Amino acid sequence: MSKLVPVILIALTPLILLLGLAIGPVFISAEQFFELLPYVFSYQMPAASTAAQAELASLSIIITDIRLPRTLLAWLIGAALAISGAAMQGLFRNPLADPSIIGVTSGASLGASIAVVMLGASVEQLGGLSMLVLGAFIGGLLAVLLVYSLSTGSGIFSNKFSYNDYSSNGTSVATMLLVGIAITALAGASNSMLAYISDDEMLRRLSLWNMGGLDAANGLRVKLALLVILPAMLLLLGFWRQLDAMLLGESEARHLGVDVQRVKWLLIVLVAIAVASSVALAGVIGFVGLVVPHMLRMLIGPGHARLLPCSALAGGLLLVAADVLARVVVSPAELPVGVITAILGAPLFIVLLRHRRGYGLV
Amino acid sequence: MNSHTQKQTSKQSNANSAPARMMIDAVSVIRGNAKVLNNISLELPAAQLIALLGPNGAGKTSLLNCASAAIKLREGKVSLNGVDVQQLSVKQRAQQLAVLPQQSALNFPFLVKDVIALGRYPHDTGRVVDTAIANKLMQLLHIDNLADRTYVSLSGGEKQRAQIARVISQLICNEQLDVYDNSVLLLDEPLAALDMPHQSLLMELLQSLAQKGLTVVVVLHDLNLAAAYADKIALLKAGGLIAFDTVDKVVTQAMIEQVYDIEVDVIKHPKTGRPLVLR
Repeated sequence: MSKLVPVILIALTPLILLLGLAIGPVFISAEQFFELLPYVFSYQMPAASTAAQAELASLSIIITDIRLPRTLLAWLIGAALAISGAAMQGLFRNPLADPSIIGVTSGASLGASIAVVMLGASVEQLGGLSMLVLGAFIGGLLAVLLVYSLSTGSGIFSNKFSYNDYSSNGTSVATMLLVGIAITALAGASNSMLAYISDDEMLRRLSLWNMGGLDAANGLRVKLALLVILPAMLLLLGFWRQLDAMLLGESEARHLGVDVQRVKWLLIVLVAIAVASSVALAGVIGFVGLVVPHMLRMLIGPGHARLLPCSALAGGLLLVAADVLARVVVSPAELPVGVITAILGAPLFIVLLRHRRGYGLV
Repeated sequence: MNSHTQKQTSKQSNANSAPARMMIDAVSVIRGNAKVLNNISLELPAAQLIALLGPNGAGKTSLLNCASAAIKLREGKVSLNGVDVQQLSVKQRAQQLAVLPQQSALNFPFLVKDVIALGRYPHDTGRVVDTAIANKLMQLLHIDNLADRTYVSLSGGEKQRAQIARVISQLICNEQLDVYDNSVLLLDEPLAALDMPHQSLLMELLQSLAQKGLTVVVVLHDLNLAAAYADKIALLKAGGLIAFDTVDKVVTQAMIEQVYDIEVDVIKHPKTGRPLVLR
């Protein structure tokens, strides 16, 4: 079973990506779809001399300009959230950890709110990107930086009651967890305050953004994701051995030869970059980062050599599938994709939990 | 270079004047107002099994933490084969020094064989050698039948044996259980969760590793096991080193009564001739 999981995930990936191209509010027949595929991949337009061909040409625009970027963005973001969740659960040795634990999500939300409220909902454009995206990205990174530096060193309190004797010069993950909660609360309150003073239009924008959605996907956003999220993910994959060792405990990992402080910092930075850009590009999409790694751990075990890549594949699959549903369920309107991931993922997760009582996490 | 000359001299000279593999030099640790360790100096020679004894809170674990560079030293110095342990890179240190902490934090469902495989982290010997070493140690510690169980499903004693196998595998270079040159093994209460037969089994294994050249320091509470297997005993009380000598000189009525504040008798073990502490 566990050997089969990676194979299934790899096999499903192209299928679900094709599904992402084929399904949407505008109906495209199977026949038309397969006729169009070569054009999509060669970035060419079918000649439009007859009426049927003209229709095909317009459908090809729908696929290449709307569905392709959207599907790719969904896959990248789903993968990034899931692999980040897996890395954070490993780093914190805590099954409740998800990418938002280091404050990145709430920081990004606040950054987005500030951008919207300060600059107005009339969205200043910066080369096709709204200031909202930029604000969210910067907000996410700043929040993580704040959480990390507040958890590092001896701080203003004496070490007498610190959680870990030996990290008085390092970064305690227990402290980081608590500081993360505090910063999340602080950012949440500031967010509410901004919501309180913003007008109806801004409010609607913000609350939609907070529900997450991929409707703003375009070529530029995909390029950004490929440029920023993909490298961060690939680098995260390289930390599987260190993460395995860290599960034993930090001092054990150090005794095995892991430079714990450096690994911690690099992991936090990579996750911050991946998640802050994800949130900036598609809003807050919950659930994927927390639950996908758990599902995979139940299926293939906690070893990160397989857990990290499989989480990425499964996260990508889940988010593309969720986005396809988001497009068609209330078509021609759209549901926020975050709603779908939770509705889709939660029951699946519960089934797995009940099926695998011996999962053994305390 | 330094370690090379040391090795040569150790072959020429007898065990008593063997150079120290690990030198603990005037180490003090202060936490708050309390001196947890007070000016401790110890020379740990090669190829010896050293038991570290003392009442609760005597500073045994703190001493191991100093020796393994888990805490930064403000006073004193610890050197491993002539090099300050604080100056070694994390990886260099891990290649010569393995540590078993008192408690394990592992609560993810790793398979037992995967936990033990992590012991090979600092070495690039390849999967075949690593697996052979792990399998051999699992057999020796009677956990080979548990290899495919998850760690979290094990009993306390089984978990402890898995962790011991992991830590020992860090210093073993082949299936014949030969040890890497110049290495040191530090074990903090490895017997705590083990039943009587497995306690003896582990002590015998440690003894045989020491005979192959490993320096083993083991924190124990069972004076008689220490007396039966150790080459030397270090006795700590309230952060101070009371004695560091051969078993016969340390396990005496006067010494034990002084350190533990209890009345005991010490007789000769009828079979081994080693000291035996009776209450």
